[in-house]
Amino acid sequence: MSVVATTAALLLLGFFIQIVAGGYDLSASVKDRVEVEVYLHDGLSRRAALRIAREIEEMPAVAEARYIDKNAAAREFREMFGNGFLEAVTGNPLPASIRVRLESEGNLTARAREVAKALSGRKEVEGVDAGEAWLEALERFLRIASGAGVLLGSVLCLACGFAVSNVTKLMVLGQREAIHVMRLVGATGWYIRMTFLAGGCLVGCAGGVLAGTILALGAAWWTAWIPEIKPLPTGQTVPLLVLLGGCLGVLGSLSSLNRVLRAVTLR
Amino acid sequence: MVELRHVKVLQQGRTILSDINFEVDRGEFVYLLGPMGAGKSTLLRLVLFEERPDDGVVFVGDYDSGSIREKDIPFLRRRVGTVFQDFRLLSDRTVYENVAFALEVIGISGKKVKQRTLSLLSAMDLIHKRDAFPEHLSGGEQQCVALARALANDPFVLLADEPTANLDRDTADLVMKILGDANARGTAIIMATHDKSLVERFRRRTLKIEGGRVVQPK
Repeated sequence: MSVVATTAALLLLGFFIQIVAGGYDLSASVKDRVEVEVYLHDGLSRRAALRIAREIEEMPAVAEARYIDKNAAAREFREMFGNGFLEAVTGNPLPASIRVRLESEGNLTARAREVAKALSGRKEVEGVDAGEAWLEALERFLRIASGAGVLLGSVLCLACGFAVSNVTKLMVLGQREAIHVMRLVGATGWYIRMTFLAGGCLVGCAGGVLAGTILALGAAWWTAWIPEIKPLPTGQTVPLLVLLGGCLGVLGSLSSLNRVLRAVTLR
Repeated sequence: MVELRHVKVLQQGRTILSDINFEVDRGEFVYLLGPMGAGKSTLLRLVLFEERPDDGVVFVGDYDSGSIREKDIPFLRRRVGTVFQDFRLLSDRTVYENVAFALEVIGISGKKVKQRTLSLLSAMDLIHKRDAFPEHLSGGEQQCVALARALANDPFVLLADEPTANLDRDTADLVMKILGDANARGTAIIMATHDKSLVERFRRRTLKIEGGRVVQPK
């Protein structure tokens, strides 16, 4: 019963950890795709454009700068919107550009603004699209999600700790007879504590193993449901939950043992 | 070996024991005879250092209530056996495990635990019941298992709190025989009882306790 209750608590916590870890991965991959589009004047040679791209790559906070010529731009446009619009106009109205991918660490909005400011003044550059409004919204969302994650995670950890603690407390209380006899026959306080701390740790670890196994087996199901969230590998999840379960089991036993030892007398 | 000197115990303002003075030497068998509520069990708890006197001193072996430290009490209890009228066996362990438990918790090695446990069960004629659980034993058998556990560490004194209270006469006599054998081997016995007929059948030194006082010290 103790193991079942501990497993349930750790399963919930483990699932939440998976969601948070996946969420961080997702936000990192979104940040990796943030791009600033630098539109070049018509007539700029390919050589000059490539030179500008190399200069932009040297800038801090820039991960990559790729030259998109007018033909590539037209190809991309057709892929996104179909042939209709471009067929209707004469020539290719789409400008060549340099697509700048920023480093994903730090304040993306500020970096995008810096890059845009640095490049806007250049004579070869017709315009810069940094998508600042969208970036600000994204960063605000990620901050809120991160804060909510920490808050929810803390509450869940406390709830989980409380659940495991209560389970181990009941386990200790259920062994009052044994504690009584231990004291009667001369077991030291240290021996009694170690017996129950070991028991609490074992229950916690067993719960961790079961919860980790269930999560690993269920991963195929819930990743089909939420494909954007990739599960942590089993090799990470199970040890993490075993460690967490063991620690919570020990803390739970500790918090209840002193009280029970005082209450169990030889009367 | 065991001495109480001017011992007084108060509980919630009420005097439980007052000016108790007596000694029990090595190998002695002493009854604490008195009605329920006389203070017999409190006296036994004093010897176990489960309770401390509000006045006076309790001496048990090399320890006394004035100077014994909490961490020394378990080591004293390893030399003091205890049996109760409700046996206090562990219901989820077999007869063997109940007796072995007393040896395991004090760090005796596995081989010695087995040897000693089987020896004790054999002496109690319980070897054939070693895999039984307490619920499958009679009252007398359960008390014999409790006695085996109490004697497992070869105590210098055994405290028996109404050990025959829940037993029929024949079984009570068996328990008294076991206590007598342990006493003959050198273990001092301090037995609390309210059964005057038992005390008459098995005559030993008797301390009458009434109203928290020793009425007839001998």
